[in-house]
Amino acid sequence: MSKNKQAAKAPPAPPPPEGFVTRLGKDIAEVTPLLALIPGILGYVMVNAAMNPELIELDKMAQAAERWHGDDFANLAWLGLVFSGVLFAVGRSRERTATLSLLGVSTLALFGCTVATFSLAWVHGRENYWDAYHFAALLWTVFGTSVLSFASFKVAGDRGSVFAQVLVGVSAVTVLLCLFVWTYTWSPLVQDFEGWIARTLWQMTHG
Amino acid sequence: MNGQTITIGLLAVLTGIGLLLNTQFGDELGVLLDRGDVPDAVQPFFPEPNADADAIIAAVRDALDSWAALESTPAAGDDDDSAEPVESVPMTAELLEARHPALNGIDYGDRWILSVYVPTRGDWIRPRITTLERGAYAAAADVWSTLTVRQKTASVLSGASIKVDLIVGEERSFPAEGGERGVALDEGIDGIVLRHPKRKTFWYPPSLSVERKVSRRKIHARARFYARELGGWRRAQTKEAEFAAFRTKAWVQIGDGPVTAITRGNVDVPEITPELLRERIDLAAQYMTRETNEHGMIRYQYEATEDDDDFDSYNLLRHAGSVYAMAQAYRLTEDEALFDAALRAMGFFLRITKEDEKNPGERFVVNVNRLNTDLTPRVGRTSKLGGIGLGLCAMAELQKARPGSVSLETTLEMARHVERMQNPDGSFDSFYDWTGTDKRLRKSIYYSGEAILGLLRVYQVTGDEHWLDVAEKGADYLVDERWNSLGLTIYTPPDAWLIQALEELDRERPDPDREAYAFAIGEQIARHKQMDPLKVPEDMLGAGLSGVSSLPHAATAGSFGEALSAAARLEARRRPGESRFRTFALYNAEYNIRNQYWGPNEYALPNPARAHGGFRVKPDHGEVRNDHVQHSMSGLFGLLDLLDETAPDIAEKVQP
Repeated sequence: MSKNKQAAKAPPAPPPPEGFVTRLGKDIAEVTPLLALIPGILGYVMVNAAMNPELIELDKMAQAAERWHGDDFANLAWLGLVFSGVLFAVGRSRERTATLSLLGVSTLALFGCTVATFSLAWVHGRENYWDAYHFAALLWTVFGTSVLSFASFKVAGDRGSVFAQVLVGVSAVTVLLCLFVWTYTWSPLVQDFEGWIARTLWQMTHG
Repeated sequence: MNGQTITIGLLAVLTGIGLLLNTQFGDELGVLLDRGDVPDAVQPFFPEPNADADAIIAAVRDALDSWAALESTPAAGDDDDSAEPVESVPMTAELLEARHPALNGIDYGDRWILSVYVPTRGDWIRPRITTLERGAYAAAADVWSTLTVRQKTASVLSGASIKVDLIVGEERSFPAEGGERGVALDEGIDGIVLRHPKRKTFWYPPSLSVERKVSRRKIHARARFYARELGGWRRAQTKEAEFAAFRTKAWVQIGDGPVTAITRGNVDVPEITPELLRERIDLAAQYMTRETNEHGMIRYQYEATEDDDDFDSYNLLRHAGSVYAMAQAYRLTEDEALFDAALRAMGFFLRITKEDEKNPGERFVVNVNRLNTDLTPRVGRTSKLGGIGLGLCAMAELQKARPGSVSLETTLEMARHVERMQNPDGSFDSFYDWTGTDKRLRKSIYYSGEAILGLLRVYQVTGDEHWLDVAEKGADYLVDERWNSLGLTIYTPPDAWLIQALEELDRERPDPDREAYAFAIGEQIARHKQMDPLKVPEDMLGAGLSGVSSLPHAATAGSFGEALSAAARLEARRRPGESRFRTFALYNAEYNIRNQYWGPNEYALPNPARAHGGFRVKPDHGEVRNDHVQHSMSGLFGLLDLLDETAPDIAEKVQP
């Protein structure tokens, strides 16, 4: 009994000091869900740069290559992907679904912008200036954002967000597409399938 | 989740799939609706010989010749006795039928169309087109009445081509302008008839769509243009006219040559044999010889359908490639005129090269991509790796063709420059900043392969394994690193130069990764070509894929021929008993030589003698460029190496 009294009188142990990441997470959690728009905004910046006439007009490419190097696009893509990951962790820790739903849309936008950037780069001959790394960075961002978008909508939908329930299907399609594209990068079978589609369409439109 | 949200979600998914399909295949999917039920081409694709066609062509030619002879009969008192005596009996319908009894059995109806092509140097040929409803004599007279005085001479008409089309099947309606992107009309297969109450019906035979360059979506407009140009219609009448599509079987004769069946403006090709390949390489080599001037410049571009060579563009890299192919051909033909031309062209190239002042003992080349108004080369500042790489191929090939014909020391100076361009990881810089003010970030996909092949050829003529080491290091970078990153393979470029290099490197230093990569390049190329004879029209077998509004590129069949024949040689060595790439290479070669001007398919050219042996860009585009001829020659040379044991080895090693 006396031992218990003594214990009761002892001052409470101080809580363990919070690490930088935890404190940063709390800070971020305090601010508005609109932060979830960051990936989408980064995507817009990226695709807007990719549509720069200097990058897609043949006679200006060489000069533009110095100003808009592949590294710039790769870094933007990575940044968007990292933000998406961090914001997904933040959104998951919140009870309300607004952050996750918004993040789902935002990462879907980043997904679309990255696909567009990749396509613009390829169509306009950036393979003559970029390394495989730059294209790979964009592709992994595409894959990552599709998964994060799907996960955001799925979690928010499970928590009752009708908005997320509607859009989870779209992001599921993007995940399937990414799976197809990833398989295309290494499977001759899938590459042959793509070739078959292209040949068949040609045959259907030419005689 | 309730049923309503799931339904909405599914709708969203379907919308997403629709958008995606539209993005990827929107062009093709969109036009399928307008294509409707366009029938397959008339079979057999290249028609059998036809006695009626033979008789009509012979009779028309006879009538034209006799009228021309009459026109050129010396007038009384003309003492020019140098002219050969000519027959000057006036041709009549009765006389024509008497001389061509086969005409009597022909039921002309409204099914026959006659076209006469009279060569006109320096301009496209405006064929004289008429129907044969009133018989061969009346049709010939129609044509005669439209010829100019200069054309009404025996010498001009002796080079004229006569074509007859026999309409088969029923006419068919089609959307105006051929529908979306002209997809309701097949280029070269569909003709168009225009009818207007105030005009004689105008027939636009199918071949007109391929005899001069026209986009598929403009075929209908081209028919209206020809109605104005050839039929004398007014513009408004062409727009008011009723129109329909029709199909024909056709036969053509150039001069007094044989009558040949044509479809899509082209003739069939015989089976690919070593003899045929030798013949076609020789024809192409003769074209190159003719187009090499006394200074060693090779005509870069000749528009065969317009007989126009008034272009100021040039390309020294492609010039070097052309010399390489000419030297290859010499190894087959031993034609001294060809070798002289190749040496002159090599001399031209070497005069543009520069000794590297910063690095003694090395030599690079600067580009020439324009000609001055006096047709002298406008030497630029850019120094391309590919230029020196193909220069090495040319030098080595001349050395193989005739040892000692070029300087081995100069070859080594060029090779040392290529080695300098290599980075520690094996990659190559594509451009050499020899002025110190022209740093370029561009990395050409193909220059490295050209450089590596050049180095291998240097090894073949020197026996120095050092060049093999440099080439191997470069090849390994391209195979293992160039397009691989972060666990992804981004791209397998259809690099025809690299695959040739890998095949030749495999002979000296076999490596499973390089071998697999070479086959991957071959698959990548074949995947986007029509390789199933049961699914495509005969003349499209081996063709690549094209956009909806155009026919497949034929010039790329040359470079892909180099690639696929290299894959086939590798296959013969590494996969004995298999013939996948051999078959691909043969189909590709078929499409390639179908698009070489070699005889009957020159019927619509204003100057067939000049185009003879050249390879055109597309079935409907008669531009002949020296690099297209080069790729085709080298591809056929590589295939010959595979098919004929007695043919020169493409990677032959010779002693220095």
